[in-house]
Amino acid sequence: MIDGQIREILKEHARLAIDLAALDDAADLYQAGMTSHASVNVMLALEGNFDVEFPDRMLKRKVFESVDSIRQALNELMAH
Amino acid sequence: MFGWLVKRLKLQQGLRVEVGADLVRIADIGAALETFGERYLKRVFTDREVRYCTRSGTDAALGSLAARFAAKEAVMKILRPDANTDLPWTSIEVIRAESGAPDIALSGNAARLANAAGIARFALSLSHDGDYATATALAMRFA
Repeated sequence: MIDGQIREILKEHARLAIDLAALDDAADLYQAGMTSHASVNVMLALEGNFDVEFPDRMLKRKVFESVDSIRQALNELMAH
Repeated sequence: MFGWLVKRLKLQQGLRVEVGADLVRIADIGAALETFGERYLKRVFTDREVRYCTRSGTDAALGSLAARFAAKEAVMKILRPDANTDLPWTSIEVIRAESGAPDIALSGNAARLANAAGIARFALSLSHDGDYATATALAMRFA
């Protein structure tokens, strides 16, 4: 369920150069075409959709680099 | 959006110049503002940047904001944080020097990375025209 929502957000905001359906959960989103500005939009969309706020300590490339890393970050935020 | 490569130029022994540049589509800034509103502004720009950019109204602001995003990205390309270093966009701030020229103010990990790299100062140039905004940053550091 959460992965589906993450992928929908990536589809709308990440501006990937490849087909999202072909994207592996561990695939590097930046290498797949996500720009820095697009990553800002992805972050804001994730915050709005999941009602969380990424703290400054999580504003790092590693957090937003894959579906796996995004899921991990969201699970951490939603656990609190 | 086009990203430019960071080039390293060695001018003389002991001094290195590094450069970063970025190009931003102004419409992308407008779209982000329309979609996310104040949340977008607060996460990317400082209050001082927003005040400066919006001083002549909202329409004129988009080009200025886009140029500032390009500047932040240009500086980021010089600082080269690793994937595990947190670096909020607001920790790289475009300010105005007394001369009126744009300048860079760093905080948090951005400042730490600059210090660790021996960066003495930055030079910055911004521009926007039509659909695009661009920024080029130079950093001089002692090798």
